[in-house]
Amino acid sequence: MSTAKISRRYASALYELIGEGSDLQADVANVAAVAANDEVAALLDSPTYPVSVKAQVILKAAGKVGGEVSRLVTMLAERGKACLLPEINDQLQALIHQAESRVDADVTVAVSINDATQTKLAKALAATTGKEVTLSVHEDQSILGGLIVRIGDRKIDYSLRTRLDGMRRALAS
Amino acid sequence: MKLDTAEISSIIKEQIKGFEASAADSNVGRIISVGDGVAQVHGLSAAMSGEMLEFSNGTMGMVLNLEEDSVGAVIFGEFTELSEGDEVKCTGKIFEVPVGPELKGRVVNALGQPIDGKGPINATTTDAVEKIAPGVIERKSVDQPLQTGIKSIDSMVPVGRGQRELIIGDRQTGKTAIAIDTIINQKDTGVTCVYVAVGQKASTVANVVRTLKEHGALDNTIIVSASASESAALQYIAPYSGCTMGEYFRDRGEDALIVYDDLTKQAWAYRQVSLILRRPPGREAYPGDVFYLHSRLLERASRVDESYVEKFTNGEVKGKTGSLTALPIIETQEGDVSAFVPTNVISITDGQIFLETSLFNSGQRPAINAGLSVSRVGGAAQTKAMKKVGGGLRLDLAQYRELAAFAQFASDLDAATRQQIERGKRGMEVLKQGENNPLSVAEMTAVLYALNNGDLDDIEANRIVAFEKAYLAYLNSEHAALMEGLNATPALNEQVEAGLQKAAADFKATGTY
Repeated sequence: MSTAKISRRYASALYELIGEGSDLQADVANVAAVAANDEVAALLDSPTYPVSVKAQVILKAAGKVGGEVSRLVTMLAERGKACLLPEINDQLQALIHQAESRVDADVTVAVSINDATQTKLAKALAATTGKEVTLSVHEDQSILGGLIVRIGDRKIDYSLRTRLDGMRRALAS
Repeated sequence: MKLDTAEISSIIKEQIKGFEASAADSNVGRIISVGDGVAQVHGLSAAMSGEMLEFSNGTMGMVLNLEEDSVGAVIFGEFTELSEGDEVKCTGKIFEVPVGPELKGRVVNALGQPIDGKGPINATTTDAVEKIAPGVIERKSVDQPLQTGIKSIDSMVPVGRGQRELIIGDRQTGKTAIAIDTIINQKDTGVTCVYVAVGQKASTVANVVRTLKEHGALDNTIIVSASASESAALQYIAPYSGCTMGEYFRDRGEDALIVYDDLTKQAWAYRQVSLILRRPPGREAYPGDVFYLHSRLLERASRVDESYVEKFTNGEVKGKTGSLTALPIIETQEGDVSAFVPTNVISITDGQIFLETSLFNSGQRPAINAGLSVSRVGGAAQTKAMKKVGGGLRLDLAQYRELAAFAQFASDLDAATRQQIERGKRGMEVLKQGENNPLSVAEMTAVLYALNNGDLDDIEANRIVAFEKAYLAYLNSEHAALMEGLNATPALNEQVEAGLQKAAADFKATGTY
């Protein structure tokens, strides 16, 4: 069963709270970072410790957190879902980005591109998607040339390898 | 044909020049799990229900389940090369197959790809596989006969163009034989035939192809094959592909016939796919929409009126109605017509032809049970001649069946009962017919007229079959004009009746039977 669905529900609830004026982002990111820690994760998994202990560990390690987030942590601990905090944080960030029309684009290139090209690319993508684009570029020799851009579910494939594959299939048919 | 290297180089150069290297902008997803012909794909946020998907190794698939963040798709082909994490692309097209007259005479698979080794099919149009059937206003009532060439069917359970007539019976009772004989009988009538083989042995399909070819009926037939070794998804979709190919002709004012052999196996394939997609099982483990599976398929077989054809062809074809007649086949287990799927399909179709194992084994072939078989279109789809000669036949046979138990004590009965038994016996003998031997309207009318007229009463019951064969040969050679006239206008007026009576008397006088 995918936990993404569960995390998304919590994240959308938190997002609605932000919409009502609460400022939880930083706190959620904080507790998520704590829960992601290996030792803490092991503690959360272990059934020997009571719920209150688990909640207290997270809250104390995170430092000062607002009332809403601390109640969130307690609620998750009671339901045994405290380990989902990192996922909830990711989903919340995604929702915020979506609302602010910001998307993350994953760009794969064969040879590295300089900053000027990256800015041009970001501008072009922003023009097509109508949203603000944050690039994350990495290299992969196997695409031979060109580039592949992934924005969420959408993939713009302009790589040499794909074009050669297409040509091969067209000639073979 | 030997191509020289210069020609090959120029062909390749053409291909390379004409090759469009545009960026492929597609919606993609990742396989989370794959197995048993079904893949769960994460992502694909723009997938539509019934959309074609392309897997990373070129195999095609179809979207069946749309869930919150994943998509359940069936794989049309081998899934053993796919693995978790592979990329899947949306094609943006709802599943479609090639259609058109270029498909006639070819054997294709459920995707419309040729499997007879005769080269590619250069179809110019494709059409969606899942379509809504014509509405109420666009239909016209069935009144043109579709001659099957089988005496028992054309006389007692006649089929009309645009009707759905179910052929139902146990295994090995001659269901496919009836369908093939009907297809053979359409060879010069302009009716395009589609034969959809679902879950059959490949050797059986090869036999069907060979039979149709031998009788010259293959050029008019499209064969869609999803044999038993193909994936359940292909067996599930094959009848719909065939129906789309048949609808092409219906929508253009022509008549078409489609045979689904058989729908039981399609229901099994759909059950398999649904269970793997984790749809809740219902009665006999079939999914809840197994009725809809068959009803939406069979509703597309209809007769459409002139205005629909005119609108569809943008005024090119005027004044012609189109029709698609369906002959679905259902296999029962031990004669149980009250099982789930048989009752479903019986309630959908406009009648059934019920074949019985006991009749088949006792030599009555086609093994049609006249009592349980019915055609809800009936006389409206019969020629005048057949209506006249076939009208009383059903009742006679029903009365004969009632009295059959007394047949052993025939000497102790009164003359009228004995006469009824003898006539009934001869009726049953007359209805026997060989395989791949469809008769013309004139031949059927002549034989049944002779029966009704009492001409066969003095022939021994076990010699009726031989008599009929010789009689038909005699009619076709000595009275060709009468037969041609009867074929052209199938109505019995005094002249024709006199002609038939004289022919029968003359033939019996020759004694050559």
